[in-house]
Amino acid sequence: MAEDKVPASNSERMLSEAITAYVLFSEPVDFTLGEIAGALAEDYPALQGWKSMLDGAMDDRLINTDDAPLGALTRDGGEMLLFSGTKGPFPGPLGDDIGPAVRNTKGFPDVEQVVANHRSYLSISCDWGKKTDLASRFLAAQMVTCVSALFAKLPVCVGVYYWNAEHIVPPDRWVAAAESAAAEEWPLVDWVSFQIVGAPGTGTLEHNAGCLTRGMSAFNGHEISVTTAPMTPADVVLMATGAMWQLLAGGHVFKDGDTTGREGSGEKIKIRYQPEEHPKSLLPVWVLFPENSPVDHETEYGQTESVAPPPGMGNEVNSEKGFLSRLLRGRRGGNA
Amino acid sequence: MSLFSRLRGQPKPQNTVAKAVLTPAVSTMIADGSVDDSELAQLSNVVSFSPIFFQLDKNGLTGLVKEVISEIQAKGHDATIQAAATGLSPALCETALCFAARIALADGRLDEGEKASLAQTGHHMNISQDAFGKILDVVIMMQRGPNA
Repeated sequence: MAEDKVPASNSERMLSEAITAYVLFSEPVDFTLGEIAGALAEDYPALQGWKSMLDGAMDDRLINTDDAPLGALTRDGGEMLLFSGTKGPFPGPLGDDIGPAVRNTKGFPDVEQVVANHRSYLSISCDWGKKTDLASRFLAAQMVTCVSALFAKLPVCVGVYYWNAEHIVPPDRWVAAAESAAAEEWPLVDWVSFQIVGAPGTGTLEHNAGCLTRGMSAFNGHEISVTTAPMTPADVVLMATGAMWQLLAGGHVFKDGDTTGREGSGEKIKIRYQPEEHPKSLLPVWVLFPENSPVDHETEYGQTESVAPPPGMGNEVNSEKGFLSRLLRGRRGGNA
Repeated sequence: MSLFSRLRGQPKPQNTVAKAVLTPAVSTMIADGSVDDSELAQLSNVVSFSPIFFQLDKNGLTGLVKEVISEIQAKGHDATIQAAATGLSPALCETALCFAARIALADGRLDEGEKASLAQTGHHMNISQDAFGKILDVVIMMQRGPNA
């Protein structure tokens, strides 16, 4: 059952908000919930068991994306997947601003034109009973991604606005993300966006980049930041993605002052914790300091208490193989 | 009405119309034997307001141009344009000739060779002399310089 408590922090709020995707179409689409449940079982057999919430029967009522669609699929009377929308293109009468999403979008050259020309949309969201553990959040994102991918496969789909990361993904890439999610893998670069920032006063991002993620907090309440350093945007995104992978897929637990780096590279990246009360943040952030960053982490965040291992001793923490699968098995078996 | 069940499983648009419309313009563009980035940018600007190309991003457009160039190299200008014309309505044949004329007139001038080449394209696309003249007149008007 849903746990109806008011989030005590921004971090908790991010974990309690529904995972939501807005599928953008070049023309309105008609569908029934029964069709969607059937297509879901056909394309993603591991995600079976969903049906219309109305009287436990498949709902054959025709829903049009341009006619304020409203419907829900449910499973075992617990988890629920909502379909909604408004007449016309996004943002509709609510006036939500899609501008930041367009700016955050990477690898979708004509996204502005796509947004300007789409004529209809459908919102698909799931909060998995407001459960905030990592497995439940993954399952909610998996469900939303796979169901929205059913629509992304249609020739009239022009893009998917993934709200939790506030960016827009081309249909083909979203379908590939759904394939990964269905296989219990993290489509990290589609579920998280990267805001590239430049070092103050350098005037260029090309070789002095840093970044801040948006979307990881939907899974663990935190974001990742890479401090600006003489690195390309691609390198800082790779560094942030590596840290996200450690936390979400590898079962790592970061502590303030830890050091990380790619295995066998000799690279040393300092990890500092920036709480949500910090003047620079609205959410808790793990801040990564590349070795060549001109910014001193102790000046910014104070001294650390971590102690180097004795000579000849290592203190490496390896990723836990099958971490997510183990969580999901426990989630299904224990308290689903 | 676009039914999910009907759309499901249908392939994404293959851009066949867009490619056919683009063919005479690409043919005109590569008449001098090569295509550089500025010419591609020019073509991108010319087609940017056409709904035929709304679904295409810049990479998609570049991909189509490359396809057309390969086809011209394999079959020749005339055969490629004739093949493109068979997939287009008379109205879209006119649109295709408009784009070709825009490319030919990009430098503000139309020499006799370019005019003859456009006339040949018009012939392959079954465009009447009257419509051909109108198209050229309008594109010439559009491409006039600041001192006209």
